[in-house]
Amino acid sequence: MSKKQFDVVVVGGGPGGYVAAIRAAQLGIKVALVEREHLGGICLNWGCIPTKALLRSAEIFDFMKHADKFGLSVKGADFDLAKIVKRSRGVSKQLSGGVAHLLKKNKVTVFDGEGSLKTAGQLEVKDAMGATEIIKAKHIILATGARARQLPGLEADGKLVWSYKEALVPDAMPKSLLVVGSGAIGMEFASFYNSLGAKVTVVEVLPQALPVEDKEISNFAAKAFVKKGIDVLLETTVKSLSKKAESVVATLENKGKTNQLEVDRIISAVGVVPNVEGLGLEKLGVALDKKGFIQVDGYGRTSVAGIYAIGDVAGAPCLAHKASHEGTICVENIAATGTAHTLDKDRIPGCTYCTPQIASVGLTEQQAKDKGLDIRIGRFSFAGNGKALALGEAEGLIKVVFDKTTGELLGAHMVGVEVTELIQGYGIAQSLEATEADLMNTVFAHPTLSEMLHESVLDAYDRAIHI
Amino acid sequence: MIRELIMPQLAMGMSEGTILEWIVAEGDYVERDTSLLSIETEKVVTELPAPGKGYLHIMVDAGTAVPVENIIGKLASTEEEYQQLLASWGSNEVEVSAKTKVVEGTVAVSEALPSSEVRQVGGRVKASGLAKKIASLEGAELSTIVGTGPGGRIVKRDVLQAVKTQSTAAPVVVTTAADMVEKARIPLTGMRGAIAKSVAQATTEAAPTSAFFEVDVTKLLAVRKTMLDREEQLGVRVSMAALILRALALACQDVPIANATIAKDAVTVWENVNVAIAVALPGKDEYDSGIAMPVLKNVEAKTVLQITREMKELTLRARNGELAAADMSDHTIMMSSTAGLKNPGAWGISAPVLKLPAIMAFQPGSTLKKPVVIDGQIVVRDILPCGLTFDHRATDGVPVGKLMAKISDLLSNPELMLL
Ligand SMILES: Cc1cc2nc3c(=O)[nH]c(=O)nc-3n(C[C@H](O)[C@H](O)[C@H](O)COP(=O)(O)OP(=O)(O)OC[C@H]3O[C@@H](n4cnc5c(N)ncnc54)[C@H](O)[C@@H]3O)c2cc1C
Repeated sequence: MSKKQFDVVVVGGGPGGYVAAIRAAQLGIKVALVEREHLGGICLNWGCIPTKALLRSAEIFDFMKHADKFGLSVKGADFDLAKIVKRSRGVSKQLSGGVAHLLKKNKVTVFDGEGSLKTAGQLEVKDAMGATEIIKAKHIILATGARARQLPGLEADGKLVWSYKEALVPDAMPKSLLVVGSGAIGMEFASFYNSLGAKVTVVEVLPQALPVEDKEISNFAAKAFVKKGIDVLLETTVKSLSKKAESVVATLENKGKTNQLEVDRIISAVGVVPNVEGLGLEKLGVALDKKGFIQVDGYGRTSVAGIYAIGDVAGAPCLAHKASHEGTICVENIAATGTAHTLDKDRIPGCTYCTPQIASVGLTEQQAKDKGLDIRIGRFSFAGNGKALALGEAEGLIKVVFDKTTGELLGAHMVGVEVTELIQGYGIAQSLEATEADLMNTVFAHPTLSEMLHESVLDAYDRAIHI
Repeated sequence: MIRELIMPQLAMGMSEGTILEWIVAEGDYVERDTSLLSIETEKVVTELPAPGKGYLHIMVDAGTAVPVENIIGKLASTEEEYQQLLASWGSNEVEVSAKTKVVEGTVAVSEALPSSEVRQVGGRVKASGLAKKIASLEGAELSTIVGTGPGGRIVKRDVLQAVKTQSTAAPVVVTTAADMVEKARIPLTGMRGAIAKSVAQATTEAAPTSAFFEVDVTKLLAVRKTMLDREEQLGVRVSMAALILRALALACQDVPIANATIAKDAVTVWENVNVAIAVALPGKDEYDSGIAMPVLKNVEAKTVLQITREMKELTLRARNGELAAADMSDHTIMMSSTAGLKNPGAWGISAPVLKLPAIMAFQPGSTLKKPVVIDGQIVVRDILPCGLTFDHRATDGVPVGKLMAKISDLLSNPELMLL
């Protein structure tokens, strides 16, 4: 094989692409990875990780503000925005370097450049200087990710209207902020800026904040946001913007009524669109779905043999762990290891790291009902949990949905402190196909927040102890 | 290492395959990707390559039909392991514990424990809590089910699959009088077997309900004529079927439930319109006939030209027996045209048989000139009779009525397809 000939070539070095490449290398496949900008993708550089670093600063600042609740006193609590941002960038940089190291360790050949398909077995790579070369592989995996969706009239201008990129590196703290979209990304930024003192308003076109979550959990969270001073305006759209030098007047519309809101900055968080341009998809006849994502089957295979797609570019849910899992499945299927099973989308957890945190996996109560399933619901409030009270975090709720006939755990939904860590308990239960009986028989350590996983299952079967 | 070779599931709904021939002999050494055996499934004959190198041990003879995921042989990495395998296999009581897995397009492989760790089966059955629960609710016997979960564990999907297969296998016993003379015997295996199973399932499991209607395609034929006049320029003869497929895909956009599949617990409506197209094939001998059902994928996103070309290609491959498993998987709706059966003795129109799990089957017939009344005048128009069957478990008359109206509208006013 020549130097430019591989078994598998991966385009894009995000959590989809780099995991696929490493898994391929582990299986003894000759693999290359092409990345045009930053190893680690959006997730490490401009997504999951830097947001969590910012939110941690906000959380500690919240602790400082409420220290007296714990019998402590903090005088003159303040923050340095530049240092907060610097720390966040530092964490990203460290992890991105880590990915480069992992790829090297696994002997993945990395090409710095932009990939585009020539034919089904050939990829052209153009480097930053514009020089091109062709690399060949029987299997080409597209993991090019997605970018912020731009609504007409609400395009990010980098100054007054921000996309997530600008929102991650603010040079000054806006006094007031309008967040458009109440999905995970929108609510995380709303939470961060609210904690650091901005007056935050969130608008959501749908009648529910965090629209993909269980309604009961969303309502619970929305109340907590309002209590923190975040205004959440549902069924509201931004009609127009009028920009001034250092502020924007937004015209908002709710059920036919309009009103105006002047804010320093706007964050547009209205979802993502796939990076499909310039890849040569049209020429090869790679089919896209209605929303413009690459159409794939359960193993990431596109409509053209030898071309695969994984992660954000292959459709919702746009989550890093979904991208990584799809990468593994796609590669194991190519290698015919016999271990590849298509991903069950009802078993992908989703987490939002605002305060309070939200986490869920599987079907919401409504989705289960819509499927015509006979269900049992269990709930447990943080107020009934010893560890939560000790932490001073009594606000929260865990809700589980079971199939009444089989005892299958159909879904779990949570709001409250650290629920993004708790959700894995139910994730493992689902993946091992545990039934209500298995969960009830599991011993949970005391005192832990995890005990609430147990109690809510008991509650579904009218056996909860601490209610 | 000893690997198990398993009858792979090559396409959705495939439940067994027949071993036609072992290409490699017992005990022979093979390299990875050497063709080991040929199997006949659904509608294809496929050669399965070795998942690695090693010595072959055959466990199921040629000519046998084997349910998917059942072990058909083993591959031992070393000669020593092969000898051990023979020794242990002789006792017939021992089994190599293994992670059994199914891989598309190759013999499924599993990493077995070294034969020194061979252990008895018949002990504990590995199954998830949920699989056990469903098995007990459905009265399924866990020990007869092959697990596909991690470590060969029986999981929910395995039990559901087993329950489904059991409910479709009902043998019929026939007795014959002494003076009956047999002319030919067509074994219900391979293609015939698959057709038998599929159509029986479609009438016993589903709730097929049919409707018939007629469409005035006078304008459509004129449009097609324009296309046929440019055949040379277009490089292809645009088929009537392609135009109808385009209309069907567009109609599905308006009535999404038409493009859906049904499972035990839910009906799934699909974005992709993947049409299974019935292609008539010759059978095993002069008494037999056959059908293949290649699937034309993503018809909703394709132009009439693309559809014509791809259909031609699929049909050709079906006739040459070159369809791959992927060519026949993931259909969301079915179309079987009877236009080819026109002469002699015109086949009017019939109720198409569903191709499960798709809930809709559409049958355009062949156009014929008929007197119809337009504005009080009797005029001669080109009429296309159509038949349609839907699974009443999944949907009801009103949406299907809408679908028929939409198909009629598009086919009688083809300019609407430009929108
Ligand atoms: C602010 C924010 C917060 C988020 N928080 C979370 C979270 O908490 N949890 C979570 O699970 N998800 C989160 N996400 C989503 C997560 O970032 C994505 O789901 C994930 O990055 C998708 O991974 P990917 O590999 O598909 O694509 P990406 O991470 O987008 O990586 C694609 C890579 O491909 C490269 N590329 C694109 N085109 C080409 C080309 N032609 N040639 C070469 N290289 C190319 C890009 O430069 C990029 O590095 C967040 C997203 C944002 C924006």
